Order: sequence, then C-alpha cells, then structure tokens
Amino acid sequence: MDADRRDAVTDSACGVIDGEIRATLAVDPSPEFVARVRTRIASEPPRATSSLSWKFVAAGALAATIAIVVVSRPEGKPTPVTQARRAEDIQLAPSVAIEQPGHAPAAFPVVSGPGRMRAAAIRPEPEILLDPAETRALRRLITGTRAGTLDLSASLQATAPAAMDMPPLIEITIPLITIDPITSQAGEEGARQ
Amino acid sequence: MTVNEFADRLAGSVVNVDQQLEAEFEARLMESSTLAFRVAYGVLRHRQDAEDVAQEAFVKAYRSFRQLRDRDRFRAWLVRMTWRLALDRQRGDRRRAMREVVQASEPLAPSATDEVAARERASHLWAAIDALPDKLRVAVVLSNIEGHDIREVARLLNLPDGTVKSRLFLARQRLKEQLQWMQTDATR
Repeated sequence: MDADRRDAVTDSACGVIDGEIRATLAVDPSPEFVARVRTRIASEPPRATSSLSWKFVAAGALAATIAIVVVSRPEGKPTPVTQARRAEDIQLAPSVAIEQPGHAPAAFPVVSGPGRMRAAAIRPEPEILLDPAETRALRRLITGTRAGTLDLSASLQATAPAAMDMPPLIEITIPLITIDPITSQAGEEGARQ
Repeated sequence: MTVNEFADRLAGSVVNVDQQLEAEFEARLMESSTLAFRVAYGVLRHRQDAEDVAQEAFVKAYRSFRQLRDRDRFRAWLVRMTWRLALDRQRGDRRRAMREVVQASEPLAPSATDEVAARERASHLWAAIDALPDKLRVAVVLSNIEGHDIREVARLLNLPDGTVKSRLFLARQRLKEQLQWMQTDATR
C-alpha cells in the first residue's frame, strides 16, 4: 500500500519535472535565425569541390613539378654529386682515374688504387638516373605541345587500343586415352623386394 | 572531344553536384534549425547565446556536409556538435549571472506570488539538471525536445535504446532526490 503510494508520488514528481523541462524547452528560435545562418554560410569561403578533385589537383601539381625538374636539368652535364667527388679526395690519390663515358652522366667516379677503399667507404646511395634519350623525347614533346607544332588530336580521340589480329583457331583433337588395367601375375603378390 | 571540351564538361558536373549539395543542406537547415536551437537552449537557457551556438554548429555542418548527407546522420551529428559547443560556451561564460527565465511558464503564474514561485521552481530544477553528469543531462534534454521517444534519443546519441532508458531512469532518480519539495507540491 505504502509502496503503491510511493510509486504514484514518484510518477507524479517525474511528470512535474518533465513538464517543467518541456515548458522551458518549448522555445522557438527567432524568425531571423535561419536567415542569419544562411548569411553566415554564404560568407564562408568556397568549399572544395570534392576530395576526388583535390586529389587530381595534387597529382597534377606533382606531375608538373617532376616535368619541370626533368626539363630544367641541363642535358649531357654530369650530375654534380657526392662526397666522393670532393676535390681533396681526388687530389690526395694520385692514381685515381676518373672515367666518364661521352654522353652518359656518370654518377660516380671510377676509382682505383689506394683511394679506392676511401672512396668506397664514403660513397653515398646511387642516384636515380634518367635515360638521356628519354629526357630528350620528353623535352621535345613538351616544347612541341607548347609551340603547337605537335598534333595530338589522334591520341586525344583514341579511346581504346585496337584489338590485335589473332591467328585463326585450330581445333585440337586429343586422341582417346585408354588405360589398361594392371593385372597381377600369379605368385607375384606379396613378394618382398 | 578536345581538352577544353572535357574541362568544360568536368566543370559543369562539379557545379551540378554543388548545387545539389546546397539544396540538400538547405532542406536540412529548414528541418533541423529548431532542434539545434533547442539543444543549445537546453544548456544555455539564453536565446541569443543559443542562436549563436546553433549557427556555429550549422556552419561546421556545412563544412563537412559531404560526409553528412544522410538525414539521420546529419541530425545526430548536429545534436552532438551543438551540445558540445553549448557546453563550451557555458563553461567559458560561467560569470553570466542572469539567465533568461522561462517564458513558457509565465501563463501558469497569474499572480505575482505564483510567478515568483514558478521562477524559483524553474531555477531549482535547472540547477539540478546542470549538476547532472553530461551523459544523463543530454538524455534528459533530448527526451523533452520535440516529443522524442527513447528510440529517437538513442538514434541521436548513437547509443542502444537500453542505455538511454537506464540513463533517463538514473537522471530522474537524481532529480527527484534533489527536488523533494516538488514531490510534495505534486501530491497536494
């Protein structure tokens, strides 16, 4: 009996509390609120079009940087490198011979004699080299595209590579394979080797 | 197709996508503006502050709208963001002494004495609600906004129904303990 009365009191108390909270929160924003939000959003800097296009832009910028580096590198000039090329190393070793083939930019001097060990000890990681012929071809492509002397319409229109001509199919005939059953001869069963 | 044509077509599709997003955001703004405002008001109980906080939440939602296009996800995100911003505002603004007194309770208090009593009651009630842990407090506020049931509150808070139910129970127990005088008023 007392428990029932206590539950009823509790329920009514909760009802009063909820009623008070609802009454407090039954407030609407001012009529200008939505307009203010719209104005505020309109003053936002333009949103990035999409994460995908952002990636495209980043990839394009990276490709352009690589192209500029490749084009601006002087052709045929040996790459200035390495601690091994410090003048003191070469001067201190009289028997050092440096071989540089005509067009190929040598990454490292070829060292022989007493300087070899020392040069090998301080030799850095090898550089990544570009083939000079490839560099020249890229440069020609970029220059030609800029000057408008190259016609790229064919490559722009190409959608898919043409299918290769395949040789005619020859029907393969496989002869019937027959497997003869293994017959045991008398006296062979159980014979130990 | 030339490079220029391709670029034009790409730009056109980007513009279309943006327009569609703007339209979707406008729809979300229209349907959720009151919700965000009331969530902020439940913490701050100051109309102008609540509007400022709700506006800030919408601006943040706009910036991340590509990830919030789903309606339920948007509302849940907006509620949580508004709640956090409102708490930040409240904590940074403890010195504010005057709180807006409940306008809705005024019709219940025709005489000056009743009005004073109602204000006092509301003041005690909200002091008790503010003293609740955040987890309980947000459940209480959300369950008393726009007729949300337990399932809707659970969806907004990204919690199981049972968790919300138990939090509401705990919150009411604590409020009841702190507001004993309301019980006696209710039984009269």
